[in-house]
Amino acid sequence: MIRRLIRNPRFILGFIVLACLLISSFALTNMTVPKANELQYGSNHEVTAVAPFPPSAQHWFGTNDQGEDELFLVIQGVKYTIGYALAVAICRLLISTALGILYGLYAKKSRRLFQAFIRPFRFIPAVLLALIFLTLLPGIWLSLLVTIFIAVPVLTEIIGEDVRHQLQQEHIIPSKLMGASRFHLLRKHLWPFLAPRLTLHFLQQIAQVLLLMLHLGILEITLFQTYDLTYYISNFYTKLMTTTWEIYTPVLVFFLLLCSFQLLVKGVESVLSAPPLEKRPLKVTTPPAAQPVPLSFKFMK
Amino acid sequence: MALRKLIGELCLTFCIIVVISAAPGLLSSDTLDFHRFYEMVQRILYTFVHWQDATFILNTNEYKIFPDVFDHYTYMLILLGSALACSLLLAMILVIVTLLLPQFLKNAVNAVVSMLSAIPDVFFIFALQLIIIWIYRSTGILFIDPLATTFEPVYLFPIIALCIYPTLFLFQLTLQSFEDELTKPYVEFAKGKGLSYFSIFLHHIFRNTLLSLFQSFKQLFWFMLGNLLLIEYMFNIQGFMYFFRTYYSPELFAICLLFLFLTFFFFFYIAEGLLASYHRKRGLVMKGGFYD
Repeated sequence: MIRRLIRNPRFILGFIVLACLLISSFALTNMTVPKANELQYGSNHEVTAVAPFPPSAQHWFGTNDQGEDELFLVIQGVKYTIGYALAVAICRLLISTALGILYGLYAKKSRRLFQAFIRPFRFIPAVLLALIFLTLLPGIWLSLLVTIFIAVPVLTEIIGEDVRHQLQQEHIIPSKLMGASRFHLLRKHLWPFLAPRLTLHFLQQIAQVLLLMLHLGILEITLFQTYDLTYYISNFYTKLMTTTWEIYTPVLVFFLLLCSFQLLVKGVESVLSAPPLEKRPLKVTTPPAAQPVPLSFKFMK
Repeated sequence: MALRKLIGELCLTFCIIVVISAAPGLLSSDTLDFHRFYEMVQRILYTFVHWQDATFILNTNEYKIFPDVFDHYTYMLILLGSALACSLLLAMILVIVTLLLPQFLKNAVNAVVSMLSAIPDVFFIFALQLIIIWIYRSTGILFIDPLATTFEPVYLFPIIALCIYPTLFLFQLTLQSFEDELTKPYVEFAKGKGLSYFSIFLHHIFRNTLLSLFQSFKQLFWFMLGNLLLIEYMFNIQGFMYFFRTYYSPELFAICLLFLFLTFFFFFYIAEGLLASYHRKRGLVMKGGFYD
């Protein structure tokens, strides 16, 4: 699968953009922010301009109100955003895969019950839930918990239904009849089917978490108190009317980030839906022709 | 029997709504605070029983929720319904036009749409807002008052903002299912009989793909509700979501969730019942329904 992903142009494009962002973000970690003077003076020492400055030749994307370069700050913040999204997506996936496999293996009559249980999560928008919980209860750990558990019910159902569907396939039944244990079924039949799907779910979850972070950022909630992308977006509304460039930069970088993840998702999707490569024809090795065994007797005339 | 099960499930969903809206009380202190949680559940249930007396607090004054909330609610329904209808119509027109195009243009349209759908919806809203400001600067017409403090229903821009993503989504889905449907033998037969392209479309393909389209509506509805919250915030419209956000209390939140649930339930339950009976009449078995 990896070899085919490398050949997929969309996957490669997304991967390159993402890698560039991450590498530059880590490279800039310990560097001091290029800074312009907050006040600029004319020839008679009068103040001609006050930070934030609009985009200029020195600062392509403008500066913030301390005169610091906007693009530099935003790129520095990218790694925190990606790290948070990764952590949340991994936790979501681990929890809901475990629950989903349990659901797929054991749920028979309790299926409807479970579906009724997760129904509220199918119509309450995640943003609304996160908004209510996070405005009331701020804190890093709690925000992490909330962002993880918002998606778990629905994801559990998706994975669980996949597992259940796969366990009803025709080739499973003989295996069961011959006495395969549940663990054997999981390892031999389910895992090869589930693993590529989980990769897809993983990428989709990262994109979803990023989107949720963006939405919460616009609603002026920062998930954690570092200078990440959502922090720069969260003062959105007041800046939109006055110093628009301060918004453009984080929004643009966020856009790049989301697009690259979408490209990754599309790439994996197209690889998964493509028909499997034709296997190389097996080499037919003919056994060497049997040597004529010397007879230990003679025909007599 | 089926009715009893349905009622049982509804009760369960109702209980979960109550639990979700009381859950902030459980987590409010460092330890799990069951006493407060229990109190909140009681308050919510009390509000449901005496729903006429439910109030919200604004500047230390108490106001009654009902019947004012119905204005906000119908406004939300109008927005959602018209956005959905618009996007369905647009997507259909686009799909039919796209199918008439030659192959290389079709591929181009596909590529453009899949690129557009990768852009998060917020950026479209952002662009729309800039457009509104630009219109105001150049002509002096203000479509949405960004400093409004009272509830005034505005329709044009919220609907445009709401229907961008569903249009792209439905377009992709419809194009895919139409193309799958076009390869089936009955289409060839119909063509051979001399039926026109459009009649095949309207009478056969559209009907046959309606079900798969409909099943994506649930996801769309969920998505649009989240979008509506953002749109109301960014355009400063005092709509349904905004109302419950600014005057938050557990009881209000529970009422909000109940409203959303009832809308969702009735819309999908009735529509799915209609679809199922229609398909049964035609001798088709429907699978994967929501309440089947």
